[in-house]
Amino acid sequence: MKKTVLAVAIAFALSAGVAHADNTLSGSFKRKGGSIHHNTFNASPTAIRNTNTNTNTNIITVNTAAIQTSTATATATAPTTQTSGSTAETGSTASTNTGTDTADTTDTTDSTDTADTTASTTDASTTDTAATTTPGQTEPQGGLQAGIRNEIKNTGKISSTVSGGNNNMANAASISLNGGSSATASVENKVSKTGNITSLVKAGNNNSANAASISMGGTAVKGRVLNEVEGTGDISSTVKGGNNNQANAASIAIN
Amino acid sequence: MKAIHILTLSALLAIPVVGHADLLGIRAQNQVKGGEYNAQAKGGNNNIANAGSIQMTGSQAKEVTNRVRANGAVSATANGNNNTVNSASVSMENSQAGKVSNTVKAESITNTVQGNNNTSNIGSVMMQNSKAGAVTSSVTGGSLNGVIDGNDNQLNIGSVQLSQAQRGDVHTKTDLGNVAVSISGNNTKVAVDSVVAAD
Repeated sequence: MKKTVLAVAIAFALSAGVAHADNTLSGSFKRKGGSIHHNTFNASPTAIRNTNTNTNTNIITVNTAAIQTSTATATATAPTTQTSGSTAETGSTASTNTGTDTADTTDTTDSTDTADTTASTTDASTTDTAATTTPGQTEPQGGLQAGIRNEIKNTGKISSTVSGGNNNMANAASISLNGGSSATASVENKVSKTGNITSLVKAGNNNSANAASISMGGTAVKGRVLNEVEGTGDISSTVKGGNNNQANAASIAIN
Repeated sequence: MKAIHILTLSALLAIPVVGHADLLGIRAQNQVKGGEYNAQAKGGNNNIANAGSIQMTGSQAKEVTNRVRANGAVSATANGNNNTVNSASVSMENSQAGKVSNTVKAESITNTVQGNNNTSNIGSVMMQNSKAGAVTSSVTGGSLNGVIDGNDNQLNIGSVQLSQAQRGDVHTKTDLGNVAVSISGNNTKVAVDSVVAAD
């Protein structure tokens, strides 16, 4: 009888350990000189949502590899592990966001979603600060020598929204390249087995909304550009009103 | 007595497994189900809506590949003027590419355009002042719908449109069920399963 009780206790302990391990993010973001590999596996189904209202020149990225080299400020790519088990990365332009970006205030009002707050906090202020201190941030300015790979698997819903304003960009499960990344070897975006992916820009001009897409501006890629989307939920990318806007869903746009 | 112990142990061992699933809740809520792919540009001018497509403007790339597989629908919508709407298509303007490949499988594809001077492509390849070594477009869908309401619009379905294009091989394959086109307005150009070239 004692042996039975002991076996049961061991079984409980082992099971609890396994559950704890699975509830954390098993993928990781590595960026040190070589290729950019961004893999998200077994993330929590909890929705990740960014909202930015009536502001200009903002860039919101969720589960996205974004490289912005068109401005003098280095790209901010902050691998942040969320409490929900997802990874949120942001590529924001520090100089333009400072003082005009109210994304933090807006996002933190979404108290219903723990993941939202976490993702939003990293979106602007934290990420911009990291941009000045993280080694290797100057690499994209001179052109990327290695490939960029973004892989999203087994996640829940992902949405990113910009309401109003101009020159905004909303990316969800996408790769976005802008500026002189002329030396990029290859770009691969693979999205599979996810929930719904939504990217929305409401009104304004010169906005871009990308969902499960690759969007590049002023970029020449030496190697292959691959976008592969399989077994996902609904994917929608919407631009409502305004001029010179672009909405991409499961697409490649090179401009 | 041993049998009772074994049954008791088995039942207790099963409990953490169930709790494990409840705790994570991942697999149950992330089941694969084909979804709906939708791109919309509502109102305004000079907008671009791409769904399951490759669109290049003023760019160059060695190899561009887009693969989309969905059990749901692919749709693109634009309201306004001078808009470009692409579903399961390749659109190149002032661009160069060594190899372009677009493969799309979906239950249905729908393009809706309201306004003037719009271009709507479904399962098509459009090249304007562009160069490409090889272009391959393969589209499989159950039903296909093109709706245009306005003047001076262009609708391409399963077609190749070339204008001042320097190219290698262009392969298009469309495996579709029903095709429905609805047009209202003037000066609308419609091409279905066609190749249109102009220098």
